[in-house]
This record gives sequence, structure tokens and C-alpha cells, in this order.
Amino acid sequence: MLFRDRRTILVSMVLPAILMPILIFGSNRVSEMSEQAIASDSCVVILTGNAPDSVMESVGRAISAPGAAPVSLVMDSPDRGMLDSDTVQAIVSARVHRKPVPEVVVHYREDLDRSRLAAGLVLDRLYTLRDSVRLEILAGRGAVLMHDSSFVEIRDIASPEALYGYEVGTMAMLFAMIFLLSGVSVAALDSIAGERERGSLETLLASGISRSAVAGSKLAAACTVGLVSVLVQTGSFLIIERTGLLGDVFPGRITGSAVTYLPMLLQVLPSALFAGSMVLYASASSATFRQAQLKFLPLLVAGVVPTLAPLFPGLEGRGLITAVPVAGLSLCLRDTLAGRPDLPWTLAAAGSTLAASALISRAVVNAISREDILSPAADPVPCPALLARKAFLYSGIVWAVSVISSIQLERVADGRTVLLVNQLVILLLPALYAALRFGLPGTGALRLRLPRPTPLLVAIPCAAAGLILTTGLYELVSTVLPTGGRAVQSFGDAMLPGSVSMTELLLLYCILPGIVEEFVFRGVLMGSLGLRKGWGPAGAILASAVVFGMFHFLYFRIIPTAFIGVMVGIAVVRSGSLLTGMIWHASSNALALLAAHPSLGMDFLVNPATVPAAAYPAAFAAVFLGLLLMKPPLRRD
Amino acid sequence: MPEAAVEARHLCKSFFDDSRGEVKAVRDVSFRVGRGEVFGLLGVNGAGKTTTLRILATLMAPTSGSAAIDGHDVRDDPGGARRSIGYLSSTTALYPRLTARETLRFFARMNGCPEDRLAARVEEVIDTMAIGSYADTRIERLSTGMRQKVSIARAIVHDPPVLVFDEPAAGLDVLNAHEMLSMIEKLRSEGHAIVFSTHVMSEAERICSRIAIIHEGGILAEGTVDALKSLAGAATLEDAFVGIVGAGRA
Repeated sequence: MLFRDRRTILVSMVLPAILMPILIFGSNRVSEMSEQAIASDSCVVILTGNAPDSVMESVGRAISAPGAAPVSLVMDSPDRGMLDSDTVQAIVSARVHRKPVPEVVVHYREDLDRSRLAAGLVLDRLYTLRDSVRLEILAGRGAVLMHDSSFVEIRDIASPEALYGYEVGTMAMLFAMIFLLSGVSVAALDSIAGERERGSLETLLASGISRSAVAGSKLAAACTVGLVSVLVQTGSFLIIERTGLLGDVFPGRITGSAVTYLPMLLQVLPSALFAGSMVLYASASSATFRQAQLKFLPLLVAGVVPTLAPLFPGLEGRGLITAVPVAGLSLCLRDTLAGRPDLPWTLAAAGSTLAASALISRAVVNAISREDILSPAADPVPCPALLARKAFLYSGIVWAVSVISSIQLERVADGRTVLLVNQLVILLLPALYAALRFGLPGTGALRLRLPRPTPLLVAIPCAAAGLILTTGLYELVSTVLPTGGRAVQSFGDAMLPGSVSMTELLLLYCILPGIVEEFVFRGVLMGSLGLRKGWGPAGAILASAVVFGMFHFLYFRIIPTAFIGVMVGIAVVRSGSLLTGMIWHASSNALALLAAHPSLGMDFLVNPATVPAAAYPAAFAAVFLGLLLMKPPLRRD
Repeated sequence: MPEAAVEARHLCKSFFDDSRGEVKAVRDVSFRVGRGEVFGLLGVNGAGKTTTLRILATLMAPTSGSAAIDGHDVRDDPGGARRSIGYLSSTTALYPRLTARETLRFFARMNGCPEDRLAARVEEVIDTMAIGSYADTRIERLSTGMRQKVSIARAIVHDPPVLVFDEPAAGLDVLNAHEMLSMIEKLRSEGHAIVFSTHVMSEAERICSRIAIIHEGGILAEGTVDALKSLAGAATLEDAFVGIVGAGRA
């Protein structure tokens, strides 16, 4: 019944059957045409230089020697314009800088086909000339040469079958995955999202069959189509290879026995399940078929990337790599086709891929068990709760933009410009837009209100105590994640450029981040996350602090910064005012900045070597007491 | 009252809506339906009819309260409850590339119909529903009325004791709606317990043994058509409905 749909037959059987011969024929034809182009086109090469006549003569003779393609040698003065206009394809310059060795340079244009081909031809002939000259020199000095052309010989002891199998195997899983995904998507992409749109999903879910059985049968159907697609392609490939229908286009032949084919089956079946479960999940998590279609490109990337493992030098289908779904199988398949099947490691790789497929399938079951799967798809209305659901996605996008822009900007602008762009354009603008578009309540979730005087007074000493605790935490973290003096030094240089005045430093590195980052992380992010069902203030504080830490990209800053985020988050929630967080944050940055100036004698705040052991419990007690004093507001959010 | 094939006890269902917060779609709904009865849920759009019926069909779980279908609790034994139900709504659709006969075989199997009885049961339903002339035609080539007949056949093919019909005549023309109601009457006479939702007074008046007027998630009144009319002191069911809902709002 599955194959009753003409589109299914077309995409899983007919297209694969005709695609393989077309691909092979096409690539073969392109290769032939390229060779013909080389053979028919006469290349014009200019020879120039100040080398002795004997050298110029032998170079000229070598270049214009009869071979695969005619080369017209012209003795002329070189002109780059000739190469640009393609009237001359290569300029060979022979010069002598250090006697008696002449230097030969070939000028060409890689972006012009004829010039590139001519340079290749000329280089081949020059290499031959160089080898023969070397042999003559060696013979002249009395070396007994046993071979006409070279006394260095390379002998590849790999059989042609093994070599051919290795080459085919390197790309085999990549092609298999592409065919699997294209076949599977025909059946699976529409199977839940499409049924949901058409109304038959409600009929199916109201029947006596369990959700797991629904997901399992749909997965089986999808994998069947995917496997048929791969089998048709493989059969097509083998027929062309064995019968020579398209001429002698393959340099070898895949060999194998039952021992070879069993691992191959073990490699393709789990991959089919992996591809099937991924596509099915995309369908189950989409309201419409169109939405599911939009997810195909990310799915293709997720499926294809692990199949590229055989391209990485030194990776074999053994060891830890077999724990990576599909990647281990791709390596095992290459080794199998190269005649080195390893059943135990293949089983391990198959196991990891099957485990990943099972997890994704479980997610499919959960998705079709959700009650809202039968609700009509509607465009979500922007509201604070929707922002709460999208907060991590938006944070991730802003984080990526921030990383990329910082890297790019650092090349062309100074630290102050980078900081300003990062704070005002990348952090503040999207947060303001989100707060306005999703209607975050100003005095509610955002906590934009004045606190009582106590939190404001307590925030500054708390920031100092918090800084000491953060220094201790930094020291603790560096025992696990060694920082490296150079990283700290370069970070310090970037943060404290010598040419900037203290006022400017305080403004840029303390007040600005205090306002902007608190609005972004404790205001918009923590405020919206607090609206998530079941999260409460504790979940929102922790999650926003982790994101806050991640935005301080350097790995050794992430945990200490997240810790500051937790303290400031508690302060904001307890005082009910974002202003408390802004003062704490700005004070913390300012104290760190002042402590970096040795003349002020405040380095005990940030230098673990000078912090007395008793300072840590005292600082902890101070922070604890300070947070206690920041009583929750009378009016709850 | 006949033995209860459907029993709903204090059903409540709340949703969390992004823009509206918590929405109570069903509030403390209780009713019993016996075999050979058509129990009507009568209410305007958004009254909570579909949510109640989806809870019975185990497509949703109640926030509180419970329901049992032919003795199977919808929360503890959803598979058993589903196999005891034939569920049909105006939005349930069939697979367009299957024929009517293949559709019936497929859903009979899905609902656990024994293989040795499957073929005979499918033929029996085809005869009962008089769809033999197009039993081997693909669904995509059938008219709306024919499809609706096949849909009913699909709902009863595994011979469930309970039928849940959620506005099954919505979108049908007068003749097809009339035929649909006739079939429901026929199924009632065969001893099925039927829960039927509608907002069309004439449909409810024609086929329902008892009616519950549901509004804003709660049942305002329940009884026979005559009992509801006398309760509201109205001459027609429509007037009774308007009166009871109006009183409920006040």
C-alpha cells in the first residue's frame, strides 16, 4: 500500500535507478571532455629569463616536447596582460640566482581553464626534465644507476581491489545517507504532519493501537522506502560496474563474500533507522507538512556530517569513534569495502547508531502523545509566555552573532568599539525589541522599579564580597580547567588597554555593562524564563546565570561569571528591582578594575595569592546576610 | 436507567494558553450513558463539547475526575477504552489512497478485531452500511456523502459498544445530514451507547434520548427534551436552550 503512491515509487525506485547511470555517465563524459580539451587546444607558453643558454635550451626543449597536448613555445618578453587576456596560457621564467642551480617559475591563472591546464602540462614536463638532469649529474659523479628513469621506486602492496574498495568506501556512507534521507523523507516527512493536516491522524490515534505502535509502524514504512532506494542505487552501481554498460569507467571491482556483506548490512540498516527516526521526528514536531519541509535541510546536514568521518586522516572504525552514531558505521563500511571487515567493532558502531535511533523514536512517541497535536495549527500570538518558550533559541542566536562579530570586529577595530557594538547593538537592541514585541510587563517580569533603600546600600559591599568568592571559585575552577598565563594576560591586555583613561574605563567596562547586561540577562531573560510553567524564580535565576556565563566566551570565565549571575539574580528577585542588580554588577566590575591597579592596594579582591583563607567564609557570610536583607517586595509579580 | 456503558465523573480539563493563561475548558462534567441510548451534548462553539468527547476517546487526559468506557478507565486503560469506542468527528478523515474495503480492514485490525473474523465482519459492515457498490473504490474518488458513510462504517467495524460522534453532520448538506442521523438512529436501535455532540437543536431533538446543555465547560441542565422544555418553561428546545444558558450566565 505504501508504494501505491506514484511519488513514492518515483522517488524511491525510478529516480535512483536512472540517477546512478546518469551520474556515472556524466562524470565520465566530463572527464573525457576535459582530456579532449587538453589534447585539442594548443597552449601558448612564453619562456623568458636570464639563465644560461644551455638551461634555456633544455627547458624550452622539454616544454615543447611532443606529448598529450601540443605546446607552442614563444620567446618573448613577459607581460601579465597576455595571461589576463588568455592569449598566453603560461609564462615560464628561468633564472639563476645561486650558481649552478637555475630557478624555474611558472606563472599562470588558476581561474582560467586553459591557463590551468597549460600550467599542469608544463609542470609535468619540467619535473621530468629535473629528474633526468639529476640522473645525469649523479651518473657524472660515478653513481651506478640500475634504472632508466629513476632509482627511487614506490611499491604499493595494497591490492587494486582493496585500494578501489577503500576509495569507494570513503564516500559510500555519504551517498547511502543521501539516498536514505531522500527516500525516507518521501514516506516520513508527510506521515505525521501531513496526516495531522488532513485529519487522518485523529482517526488513527483514536483507534486501539498504542502510540508506540503508531510510531514504530511509521518508522518501519519510512525505512523500507529508504532501504529500497539504497538497494536500487547499489544494484544499479553493481550492474554498471560488472557489465561495463557505460564503458570501462571503474578502475576496479568491489569484491566480497558473505563475510563481507553481513557487516555491510549491519552498517546500512541502523543508518536507515537513524535517518528514518530523524525525519519522522521532524514530521511529528511540525504542525504542517510545509513546516516539516523546512526542517529537511538541517536534517540533511545532521545526517550527512557524521558520514564524512572517513575523510578525516587517521580515523579507523575502531575505538571510541564507534560510539558516535553513523560516524563509526561510515568508517566500518569503508574498512569492510577495503577488505578489512571487523565484526565486533561494526556491532559496537551499529549499537550506538541504534541507541541514538531509539532515543529519537522515543521523542517521536512523546510528540504524538502530546494533546495539542490535534489542535489546529495557529500562528502563535506574541506574548510573554511565548518569549519564555523561545528565550533559549533567541539567546543562542544572539550568542552566535556576538561570537562571530567579536572575532571579525577585533581585526578592524579597537577594544572599545568592539565592546560598544557588542553591548549596544548585539545585546541591548534585540532585548529591547523582544521586551516590546512580546509585551514583557515593565514592573512585573522586567522588575523596572525602584527598590527600597536597603538593597541599594547593601549591593556595593555585597559586590565586593561576591568578588572575593568569585576569585576563590576561579582558583578552584583553574585546578580542573588550567587557564594558562598567556590567555589571562591577553584577556587582561584586551580589557585594560593602557591608552584609556580611568573615567572611560569605568564608563565602558562598569556602568555600561551594569545597565545593559542586567537589562538583558536579569531583566528580559530571567524575567521571561520565570514565566515558564514549573520553573519559578530558582529555575529562572540558574538558567539565566548559565546563559550569562556563556556570553563571557573565554572558557575560564564561564563558571565564575555564572556564579556572579546567580548572586545578582537572587538579589534582583529578593529586592524586586533590576536596579539592585545593575548597581551590584557595575560595582563588581569597578572593584575588579580598581584591583587591577597595583598602586591602589586592592588586589586582594582578585588575586588568590593575597586573599587570606579567612576571607572566604567572611565573604560568604557577607553575601548571605546581604541577600537576606534584600527582602522580597510586598507586591509579588 | 440501562446499565452505563459510558460514565464520566467530575471531569475537569484545563489548558495553558500563552496569551490567556489557564483556560478551564471542562468544569466538573458528570454523566452516564446506557446501551441503546443517544446522549446529546448540546452547546455553542467553544462550550467544551469536543474536549469532553476527546477525553472519552483518550485523545486527551482529564486534569481531574475520571471516565470509563465499557468498564475501561480512560486514564488507566486507554487502549481498552479506545477499542471499546468508535470515534467520529467532522474533522476525522480517511486515507485517500485506500479503498473503502481496505480502510475497514485496516481499522478493524488496528482495533484488535481477530483475524479469523475480520473478513466476515468487514463484509457485514459493508452490507449494513450499504456501501458495497463502491467498496473497492479509492476514498479519494468518493463523494462527501459516500465518505461519511465509510467513516461511520470505519467507526463501527470493530463492533464497539460505545460510539462517540462529535458533530458528525457538520459540513454535510441537508440530505447527507439527514441520512447520517438516520444511521445513528439505526445504531442506537442495535444497542450501541452513543454520545453525540451538536449545536443544532433539530438534530438533538430528533435523535437524543437525553440531552445535557453544556456552556463554558459546565453542564447547566440535563434531561429528556420534554424535561428541558418544562424546566425552562419553553415551547421549543431552542427556547429552552436560550433560557437555560441565559439563566446560567446570570
